[in-house]
Amino acid sequence: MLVLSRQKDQTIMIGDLIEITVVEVRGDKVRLGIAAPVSIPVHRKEVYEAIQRENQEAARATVDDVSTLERSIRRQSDAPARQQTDERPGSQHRRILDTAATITAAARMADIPTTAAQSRSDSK
Amino acid sequence: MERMMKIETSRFGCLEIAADRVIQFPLGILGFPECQSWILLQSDPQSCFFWLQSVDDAELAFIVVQPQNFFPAYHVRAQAEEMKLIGLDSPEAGEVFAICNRVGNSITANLQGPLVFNAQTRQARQVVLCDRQYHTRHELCLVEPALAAGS
Repeated sequence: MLVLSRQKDQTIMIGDLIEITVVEVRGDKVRLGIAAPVSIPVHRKEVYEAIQRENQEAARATVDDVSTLERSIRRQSDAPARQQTDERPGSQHRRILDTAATITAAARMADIPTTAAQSRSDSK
Repeated sequence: MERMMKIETSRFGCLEIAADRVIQFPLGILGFPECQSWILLQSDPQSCFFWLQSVDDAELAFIVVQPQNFFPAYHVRAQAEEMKLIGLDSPEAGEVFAICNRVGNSITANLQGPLVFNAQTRQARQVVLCDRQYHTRHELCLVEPALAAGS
């Protein structure tokens, strides 16, 4: 690893396009200003890694997960009596179902095909 | 005449999709930078769950939802420059989705790394929010163990 010493307001260039400036040094904390092209994302490493890890885990989802989810949500919203002990989740799930129609409309607007009706996509 | 393309998927078999429905993630999705072409599928017309399926990798797909339906106050505060890459002025001008994950008996949504779509140009990117109130696992709902066992 290349190690450089810089003082406040001094800058490092990475290639022609990326500039890193030391904005402030206070105790063991350094504030950096980063100027980079839009095509180069800049993230705090721990946040970047957390999202990367979460994506990798989420990629294991199965079709069964969705059908289980659908059934859970339907059952929880169809049985308000059972939710009396805990009203908040019940109302939350009702809202989820109420909005399903809106979502479908949004999906149509965005021209999104459904997994159930692929043949529909060539009728245009 | 629309050009159709065949997409192999491990979950849904072979899908025939109009080529203009493909969504481009110029930067990929974090952890999958090489996967830039995706399609958005609805699991069922009544469902609030969508699948984001990779065109490049048959086995790669995410369950996604529109987070505002579950978290009405959810707000994506992204920098204008981040949105420029996909041709939007702000996240509000696009469609926002969140990737879901199953953690034990709950389904969670990643609100820290939302996906922002430009529905006109069909370009999208995953945004990393600095907002500390959002993390990668917000609970959407619980999976009832009995139902899970029956599937």
